[in-house]
Amino acid sequence: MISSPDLVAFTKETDFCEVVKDPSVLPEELAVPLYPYTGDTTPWSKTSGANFTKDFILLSEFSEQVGPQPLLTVPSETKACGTFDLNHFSLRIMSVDYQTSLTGPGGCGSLKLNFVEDSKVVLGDSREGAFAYVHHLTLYDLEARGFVRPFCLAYVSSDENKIIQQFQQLSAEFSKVSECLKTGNRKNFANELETKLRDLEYTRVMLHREIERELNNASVMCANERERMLNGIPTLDVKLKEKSLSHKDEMKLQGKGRCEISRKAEVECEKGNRSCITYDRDEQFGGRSKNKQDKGSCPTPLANKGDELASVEKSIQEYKSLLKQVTCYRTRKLRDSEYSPYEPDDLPHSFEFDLDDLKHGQLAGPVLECNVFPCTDTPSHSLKPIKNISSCRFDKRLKTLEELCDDYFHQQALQQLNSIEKTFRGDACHLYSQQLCRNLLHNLKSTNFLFEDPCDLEEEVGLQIGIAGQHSVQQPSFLPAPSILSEPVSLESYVSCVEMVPIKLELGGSSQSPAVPSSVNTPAEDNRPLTSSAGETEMENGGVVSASDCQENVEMCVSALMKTSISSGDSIEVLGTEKSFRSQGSNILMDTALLRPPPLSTTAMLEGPRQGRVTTIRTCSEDSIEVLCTTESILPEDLRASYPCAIDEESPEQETDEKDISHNQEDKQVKCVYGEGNEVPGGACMEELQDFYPAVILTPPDCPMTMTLSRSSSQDVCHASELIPLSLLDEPYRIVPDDLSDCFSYRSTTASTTSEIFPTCLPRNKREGGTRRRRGRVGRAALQFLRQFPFAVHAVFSVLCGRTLVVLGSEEAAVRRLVTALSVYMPHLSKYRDGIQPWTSTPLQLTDLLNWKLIGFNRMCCFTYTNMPHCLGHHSRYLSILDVDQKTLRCPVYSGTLLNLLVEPRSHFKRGNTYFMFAQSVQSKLVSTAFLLTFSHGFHTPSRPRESTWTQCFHSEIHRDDKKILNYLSELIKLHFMEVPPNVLRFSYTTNCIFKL
Amino acid sequence: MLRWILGGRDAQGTVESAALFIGEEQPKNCFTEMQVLKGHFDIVRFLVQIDDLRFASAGDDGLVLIWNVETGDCLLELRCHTQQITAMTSYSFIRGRNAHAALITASSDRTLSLWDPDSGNRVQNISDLQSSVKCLLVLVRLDVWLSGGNELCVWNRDFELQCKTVHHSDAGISAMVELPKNFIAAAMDKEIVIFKLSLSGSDIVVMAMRHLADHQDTIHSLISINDGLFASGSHIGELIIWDSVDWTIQAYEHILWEEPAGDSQSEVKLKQIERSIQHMSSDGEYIVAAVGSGLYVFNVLMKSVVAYRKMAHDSNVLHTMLQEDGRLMSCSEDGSVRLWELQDLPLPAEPASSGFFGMFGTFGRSGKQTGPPAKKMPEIPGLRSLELIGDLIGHSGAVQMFLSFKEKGLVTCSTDHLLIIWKDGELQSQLRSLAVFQKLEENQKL
Repeated sequence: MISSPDLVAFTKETDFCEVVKDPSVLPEELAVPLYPYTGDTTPWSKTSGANFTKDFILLSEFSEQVGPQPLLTVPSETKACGTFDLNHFSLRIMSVDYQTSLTGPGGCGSLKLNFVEDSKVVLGDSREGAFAYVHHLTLYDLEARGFVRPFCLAYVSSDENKIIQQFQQLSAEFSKVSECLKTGNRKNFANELETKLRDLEYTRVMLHREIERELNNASVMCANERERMLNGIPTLDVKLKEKSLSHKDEMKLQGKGRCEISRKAEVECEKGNRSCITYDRDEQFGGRSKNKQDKGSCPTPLANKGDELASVEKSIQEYKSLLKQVTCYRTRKLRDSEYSPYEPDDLPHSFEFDLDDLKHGQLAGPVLECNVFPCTDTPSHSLKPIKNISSCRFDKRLKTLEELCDDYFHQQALQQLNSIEKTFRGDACHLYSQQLCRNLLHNLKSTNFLFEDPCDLEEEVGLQIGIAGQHSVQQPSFLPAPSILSEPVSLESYVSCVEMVPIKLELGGSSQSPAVPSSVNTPAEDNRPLTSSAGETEMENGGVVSASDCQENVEMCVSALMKTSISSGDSIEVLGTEKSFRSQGSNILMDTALLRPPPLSTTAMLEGPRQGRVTTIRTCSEDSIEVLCTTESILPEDLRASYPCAIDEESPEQETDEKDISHNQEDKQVKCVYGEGNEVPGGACMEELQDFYPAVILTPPDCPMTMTLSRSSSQDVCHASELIPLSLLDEPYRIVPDDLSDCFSYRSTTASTTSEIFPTCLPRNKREGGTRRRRGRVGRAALQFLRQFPFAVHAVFSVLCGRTLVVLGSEEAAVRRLVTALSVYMPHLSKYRDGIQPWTSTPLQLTDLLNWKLIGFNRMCCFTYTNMPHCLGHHSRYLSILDVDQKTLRCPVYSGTLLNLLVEPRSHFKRGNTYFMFAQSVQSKLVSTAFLLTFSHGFHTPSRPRESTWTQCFHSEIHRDDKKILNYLSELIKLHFMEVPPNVLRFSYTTNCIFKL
Repeated sequence: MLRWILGGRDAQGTVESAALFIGEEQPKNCFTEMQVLKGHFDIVRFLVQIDDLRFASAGDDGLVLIWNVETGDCLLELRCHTQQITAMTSYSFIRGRNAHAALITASSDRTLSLWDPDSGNRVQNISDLQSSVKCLLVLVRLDVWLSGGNELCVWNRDFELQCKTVHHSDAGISAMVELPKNFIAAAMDKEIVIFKLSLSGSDIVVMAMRHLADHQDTIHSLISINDGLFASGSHIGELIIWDSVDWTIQAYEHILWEEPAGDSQSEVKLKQIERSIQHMSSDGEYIVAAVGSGLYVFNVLMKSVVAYRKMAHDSNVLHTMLQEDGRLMSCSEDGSVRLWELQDLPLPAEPASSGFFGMFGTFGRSGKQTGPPAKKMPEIPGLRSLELIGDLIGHSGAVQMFLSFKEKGLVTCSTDHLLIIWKDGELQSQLRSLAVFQKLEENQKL
């Protein structure tokens, strides 16, 4: 007995309360929501006693044969779920009715695809202690009942709160996976439909021919019969004569045009339908024709054949409508900003046919077909009528998920699932605070460069906290970080490769639709639009175009084109126009939640050239002009495949395009029309990107913020409104395009070298794990350093006040270890510069001191009698020197208080990671004070008569050394804010002390 | 540390030894920020201020670079000289109501160039000189300028040669100063030659009026003190102050750094004490002379020595400057710039002098006899001490020259191919804050 699953409530009563505006609270972006304290002693979430140890992702299917069944889990089943009953659980999560379906664009046929929106629910099984975010989706399968295969993705956790907290995130992530699967599925479904359609077309032709033949024979028979009846002499000779006659007729018929045949066949088909006189004779001829044709069809009664033909034609219509719906879906969906077009990596539908093959006439019919439809089996088999298909066969094997989705997309989805699992691993509390922290950090644009990991900051772009029950969460945007597409995009590389060859299709302005070069190498059916204009083409037996015919076709159409072509004698091989690109780009609406700098769809487009899909279309013409196909050529046509008949909107222009291209390919002359710079797709795209730069607005408040010094008591609290220019907070921070492109190019250098199919997913995972590991390592090293040197605080002081610290030693590993340890305290000089030189042997120059703030120095590099290399002695005023070999430290003494926290608890921390985080928290305190110092107006305008309390406090209460630290950080913030590279060396004349262990 | 040893060796010179122990604490040294300017490929020898914001640097690589002192940006790169630059000067003129700046450079490839520092264009170029030019002097009043090499040439603003003197000697003119009434004093080896520029209509004629041969050795330095006086210094420490009008000697100092009286046999004595006057600077009242590695301050009005320091640097002092606030700066071959302050002696009774001053007509070598120093100059009224208040260490080679932009900073150039702008860190920090608030204000109404 299956109980209905618990639906978990999302909202609480408190959500609907009016938010009381307290003037003293922080702006929403900067406010730190309190952790929903449950009253327990620990913040960690309670375990619900589920019999699985950690969260996992479950993918299950509602099979029409066996019902709900689990398909796979991430991580694999043995690792994840233990004794948990997956079957039972999939039963529960699949039993939710989620048919909130949208009907697709109505086709002309009776078949309609329901484009069902995914449903996202949180379900719980309190008895099992399992809670799940469940994401239902449907895939299409031609052989399935109603063409649909329901699937569901579930994130299963034993912590209900975690699911609810992370709902937005999960939903966004799973939407992407689902979109990925569905895109792949649509592609395969379209392929399937095409195959089907071709089969049906073939069947239809076969039927026509059979019927025709029957009728011919029948008419001849009729005549002969009558003659015989008139003459009354039935002889064998006559029969022989008949045979030859009919044969001749047949030959004659074959010699005529295809249209004629079909027309005639239709007429005679009707005739045949009406008169069934020659039924018994028919069988003989049927048998004969069967012998004659190797691909013979079963002889059926003529009436049945007529019915069959009708039904085949009907189903052709239906399938065409289906195909249209599927292919239209793409463009329809593009209007949603969430939709990201995935570019498949293979090229089943691009016009990759070989020019040489064509030229040398090697393309026989079947080969040709294979080229165009590489993933489908040869269609030269005869088909059963459509009736049989719709019947349910329970013994039939259902397609697996891999078969349903394109392999590429399937892999992508799996990768994404893995990445999701990694992202959401861990305790809810940890996840929550991590996201909170990232989100807050992201808002602190003016200071976050100092101590945070640059990659952290990059990753968090677009990350939003999805906390149900908190303030209303914005529509979740894509999280680009784990997504496959967003990462290794380099605008520059794109531009560089596109700008070189700015291609504009110049076809007398009629290049509205992108060229679909299906004209030459499509099967005979597809040739109709071409042949109708190019002249008469024969349709040989079975609709297979022979090589010679094909050649002839091409020649004919070329000759026709020679007269009618709009373009000049030089040919153009442009595989796509920027128009299609533009239209696509403009479809991407500016979403309000554009927190991520490059919208995925754009990046996806940009990524195209790299992803192998297009690179193959780089042809080198004889004119030695390289033509590069840009991505757009594959866009909306991707799913349409090469079946132009199915698309109603086909315009005459397109035909010309097609012809043009065939013509070009024949000529093998390529002429590039260089468009103006601004018409280059890349340029357009750049523009768009710039438009996309988000104006992240720290909405701010006219309310005074209260900030306290870490040390000061409550009366030191001062209203920041008098100090801080509040409008600073709502300055629309625009991401500097340079910065972005920088970071992109940086990324692209790493990504372009990876040759994996999924270069995007892996590095991120690696990096994330790497970051965690690295933090642990660094933290451990720092702890070790603190324990080893009792005077560590002075070294830390040197690092924090911008004095270059040289770690001098003869053993590289030891020096590097210390440098690593000290790097914990090292403020970054600017966003992409961290000023650490872990090991060097070249004598230090003055300029090095500007660039490096932490240097591992090889003592052996310049052997001197004294202990200290000369270059260090010369610059000793600006250096603190930690001598590893002699265990001495020469640096200014620190006697302030701010750093004590950092150094004191050296005995309390066991784990490096913990210490790292602790150090970060102390540093962030420093940073916030430095921020206050930087942006407090009264502090820097001495003319102001009344000094604020904070300023006084700064002057009187803060120790000189602490001031140095804060001033240094403040200077860095200023430079960062002014976008000036830190190119000055600030120093002070202070006494150095030598500490000895 | 050699420096400390040298400083401390003088048992009597308590003033001197105390001051040279400048510690790491330098509260009076305001230069707490530096910016390193790279661009030259060889020794940088000349710095010339163009306006409040810009200066030009030139050196042995033949490059002339124009910099912004505030940002440290290299604004222009003037290339065309194939050999080292030997002289450089800048002047401003008014043409059509707008003030223009111009830069004249001379190189040992025997060319002279006039540059427009705004555009970087070479406006004029003269390449067929007979000798390379060693010094340049712009006479703004007459709108002409002079070049001194083996001969003295007078050029007008458009780089047209007006007249020139005959070939003088192999030594050539090493320095020139402008004197009243269109007279020019030029230092040629041991002599000072007074030239007269006579203007008749548009023609300019130059003629030598008098040869002043009072120096015993090569004159290294020739400066103008004020309208009435100019000074010259020679290789053996002779400092002569001249009247600008009648070219008579107003004061004569022969600076002889006295050998240490006591342990004169010590190995330090082996070091030849340099007393060549390399450079002088004046603010109209005082003269600072760089004598060997020491500094010597002379009051022109009182005609008396104010302060001195025999071992101000570890090596020869190459450039000096007197500031308004009574502070001095000096740079030296030892790679440092030192800041000095004139202070009253803390203990006036203490023997202050360890030097010997030959006054008025006492000729150089005659004053070489050693005597108890306390006897010589015990009670010079107003003798003050030169206290070291700070040093700037950064260059790894000799600091050739420095140029002060007052509060905007101090530029030094060196044989290590670098230029450094030293700035007041506090002030810069405030300026940056102002810039930050200005940017905030621009972005939205504050």
